[in-house]
Formats: sequence, C-alpha cells, structure tokens
Amino acid sequence: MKSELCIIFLLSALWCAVESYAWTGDVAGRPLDVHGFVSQGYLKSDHGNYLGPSEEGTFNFTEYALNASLYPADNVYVGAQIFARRLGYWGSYKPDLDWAVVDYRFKDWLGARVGRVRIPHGLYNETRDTDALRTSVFLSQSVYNEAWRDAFMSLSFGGGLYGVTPPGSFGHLDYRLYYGTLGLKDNSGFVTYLGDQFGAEASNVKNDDVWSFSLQWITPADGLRFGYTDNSFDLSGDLHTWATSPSWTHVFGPGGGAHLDYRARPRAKVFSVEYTWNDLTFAAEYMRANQNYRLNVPDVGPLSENDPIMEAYYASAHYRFTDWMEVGVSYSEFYPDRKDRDGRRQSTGRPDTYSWLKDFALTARFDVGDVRLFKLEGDLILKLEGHLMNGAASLPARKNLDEGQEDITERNWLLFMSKVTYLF
Amino acid sequence: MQARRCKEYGSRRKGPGMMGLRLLMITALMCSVEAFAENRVVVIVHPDVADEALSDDDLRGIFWGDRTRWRNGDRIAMVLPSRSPIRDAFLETHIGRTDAQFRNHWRRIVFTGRGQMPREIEEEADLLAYVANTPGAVSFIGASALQRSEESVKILLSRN
Repeated sequence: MKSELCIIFLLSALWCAVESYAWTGDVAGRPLDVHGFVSQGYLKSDHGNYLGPSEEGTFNFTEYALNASLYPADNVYVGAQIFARRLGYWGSYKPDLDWAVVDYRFKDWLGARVGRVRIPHGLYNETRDTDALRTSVFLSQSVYNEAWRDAFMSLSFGGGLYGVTPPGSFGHLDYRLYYGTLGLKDNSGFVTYLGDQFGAEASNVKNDDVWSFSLQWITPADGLRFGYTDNSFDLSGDLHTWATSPSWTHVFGPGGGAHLDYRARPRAKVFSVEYTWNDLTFAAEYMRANQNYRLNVPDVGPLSENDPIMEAYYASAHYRFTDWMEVGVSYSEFYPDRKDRDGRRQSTGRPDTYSWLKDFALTARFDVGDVRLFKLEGDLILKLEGHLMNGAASLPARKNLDEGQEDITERNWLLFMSKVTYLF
Repeated sequence: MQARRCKEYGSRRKGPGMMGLRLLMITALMCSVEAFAENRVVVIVHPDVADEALSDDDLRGIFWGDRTRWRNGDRIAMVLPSRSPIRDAFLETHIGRTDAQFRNHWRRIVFTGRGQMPREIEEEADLLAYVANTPGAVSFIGASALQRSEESVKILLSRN
C-alpha cells in the first residue's frame, strides 16, 4: 500500500512537471523537483549466457525511473523514486519503489534519514542505476555485479546518520552509517548466484540485520578522494541441493537432493580511490567479502561451516575528448574464493572456470545532446562497450547448460553491449 | 588599493535610494576594476548575507552541496546561471570541474535521494533579481552584467 501511494505521488509529480513545461513545479511555494530516465540496451556474447540469453543476443535490458523531491521545510527533504529493470533473466517492467527518504539535516556535519535508503558500497553503488552518470554501460562487474543489484541496492527499511565535515587543511570527510533490513526475491540474481555457489537452488532468503558504513576522505589535493565502505549482513534461507552435484552426492548419496538451512554473516569491505584531473578520471577499488556461512540439516544438526573470502578489484580510466564523446577502459578480476583462484577446490560439478572472471573492457560514450521529448528537456546518451572475458565466475550456472545438461561456457569469450538512455 | 577601487566602483553604482550603500564592494579575485574591465566572474549574494569573503574551499562546499548554511547559520540558497562561458569559467576556476562533471555530481545527488538540482536561471537580470530578493541567495555572474544592473546585491571577495 505504501509503495502504491508513492507511485501515485510520483506519477502526479510527473504530470505536474509536464503540465508546467518544466522539470520543476511548486508546492506551497517550494520547488517540487521531478527527474527520471529511460534506457534500452542490448547484450550479445559469443559463448555463454551472461545476465541473460546473451549468446543468442537479447534486448531484455530495459530500465526506467522517475523521482520527485521536495523540501517542505528548510532542513527537511522528502523524496522517492520508482524504478523498473528487466535485465536478462531478472527483474520485470513493473516498477518497484526504489528509494523513499525523509531526511532532516541538523547541521552540515550531521543529518538523519529514514526510509528505503540507498546502501553505500564502494564509491558508486548508490548511483549504479543511473546510466548517464558513468562512462561505461555497467560498472566494473567484479565489485558491482549487476546480478546482485537487489542484494546491495537499498535497505527495504532503515535509516541512520550522515554528514560532511567542514573543509580544513586535511580536506574533509563524508560519512554515512545506516542500519536496516533488506528483502530479497527468490528470482533475484543474488539468490540464484547464492544457490549456484553451493550447487543448490536457494529460496526464502532474508536479510534482517544490515549495517552499512561509508567514509570518504576528500583530500586537499584537488580531485583526489579515498573511500572505505563496510557492509555486514545477516542472511538466512533454504537450499535445495542439486541431485547432480558431486559435493552433495558424496554426502547424501547418488540421485538424492536434500533440503538445508543456510545462515550467514557476510561482510563486504571496499577500499576505493578516485582521481579526477581535468577531463580524465581514474578509479580503482578493492573488495574483500567474508562469506562466513553455516549449513544445517533440519532436525539433524550442523553439516558444515566455512568462511571463504571473496575478492574483487579493478582499475579504470575514462577521458572526455569532446562535449559529445568520452572513452573508458577498465580491467577487473573477481574470485568467489580467493584461496581457489584456479577452481581446483570447488566441488559443485561446475567447470573450474566458475572460480574466476577476468574482464578487460573498452567503452565509448556519445552524448547526443539536449533533446526535447514531449514537453521534457533531457539528454540523450548512446554507449557501445566490448569485453574480453576470461573465466565464468558470476555467470548463472543453471542458465548455461545445454539440453544434455553440459556446460556451454568457454574459458575465453567476448561480450558486446550497447545502450541508449534518455535522462531528464 | 583594490578595495579603494571597489569603493569607487560602488560610488558609481549608487543609484536611487540605499542601493549604492548596500552594494558592498570588497575585492581580490572577483572585485576589482580589472574584473569589470575583463568581464571576470564575480560571486554575488543577498545583501543581508553576513559573510564578507569566501575561499575556493567555501565555494566548492557551497556549489557542491556539502555546505548549506552561512556562518551565522542562515540557510544558503544557491542558484546558477544557465550554461554559458561565464559558468564554465567559474566552475573550472573555483570548483575545479567541467560543467559536465558538475552536472553529473548533482545528478548523483538527485538520483540517490540526497537533494534537489540547483535552480538555474537563464536571464542575467532575472538571476540578479533572484539574488537581490532571496534571503541567503548566492550565485555568480559576469562583472559587466552587474555593471548594467540596478539590482542591489553584495559581492564577496576571495579569501584564498
């Protein structure tokens, strides 16, 4: 019901904006700001299905968002955004409430916000949905796996404190500390990945206890900032093991699947640096995530307990040559278990290549310019991107089986993507 | 010397009523005879703003959205001229960013539920009128446009 009210509020705000020939209307003398975007993309790979049926090529890559915000009082901000994404196997065209916030700023160094709040993870998680804010089609998939968006994007409900310290000779600090809960759908990419990691189907995954902390140091050196984010979760759910998985046939006997309880206290830390010099921006991030899980057989007892460490890192650079063209390059590596970089230890029955993913990417972004669509003025952006991939980690294993249940991924493969976005 | 020049300019700007008196001319990078001759960018605020000077760090904090209050606690109402060479010059000189980077920064704020896009005003006369009539307002404008205007605004100096 709350979501429906927010959607009605947003659609009303859009109507006001369109009717007033502008992005901004007034409510009781205070500006009502309305913005949004719509994107359509295309994915094509030469081997394997990445996020969707990319081996065939897929246009199942559609996003749209609409937000409205208002300052009802000087220190009070209220805003909400609806967002829909159909990306390959996941999501739908039906919009969900993406974020909805009530924010009170006591001082510049101390504010509080509550509601459906974006989770800081690395430098760019909070803005990952907005294609126009970056050069590449996707952020580096090592740290910002698109299939896991639902698990990291926003607290279902929560809140916390934030602020920016006054600038001094050491620069200044930007901090956020949030706590809340996070709901996950069974058909989300993260739940699918979680099951794949265990050679199982995952379901009923909940995330009831999320702590999120972010600290950025904006240094006195112009354009240089460092960041640290730390997110801890409390996951629980059900696993239904694959009858074909060697690790489970070893335990439960051939041909027999089983039901397991899954509990985990994962924690993801990201260390970041970004440097902007004129039209050149360089960024590098390192993520280390403890998975810290326990499996129980219902009514029997503990089965296993482990704490594999996921590791991911990337470096990227992008340069704006002209007002209308920007080019980016990046390299990233991702390991679901940093102690198993060649896949010799995993025993889910998947090929070894599911233990790493190395990605070299090139992107060209073209800002076509201001375009008036109906009564809205906005920017039209076109992107083309190519990836040289090595490995298959983060690909959905069950979506990469042929009719004979044989894996179709290759060690080396290519991925092409394009995307057009209209943002107002 | 520069302060005196500003006073001289201020005296020329004295029009009807108290306008000339309220037009506080201070100096350095933005307020000098040279500034007006070269049509440099000047930072303007509502006449009741108590601050007299701003450093580039202050300007960056204000136009980046990190700083929302003047030193006396009054709310800052930041407004921008529409895209123009003056705007490009101000952003590159004092904020250290291109216009595209600046707009992207604000889009990040807007699309993550942390604030609203700064208000933009296309006509210089309207911009000056907004700053003159809105408590806590701050913006920037070409010095020559200020010279032509009858509005009462305060010019801040640089503390760099």
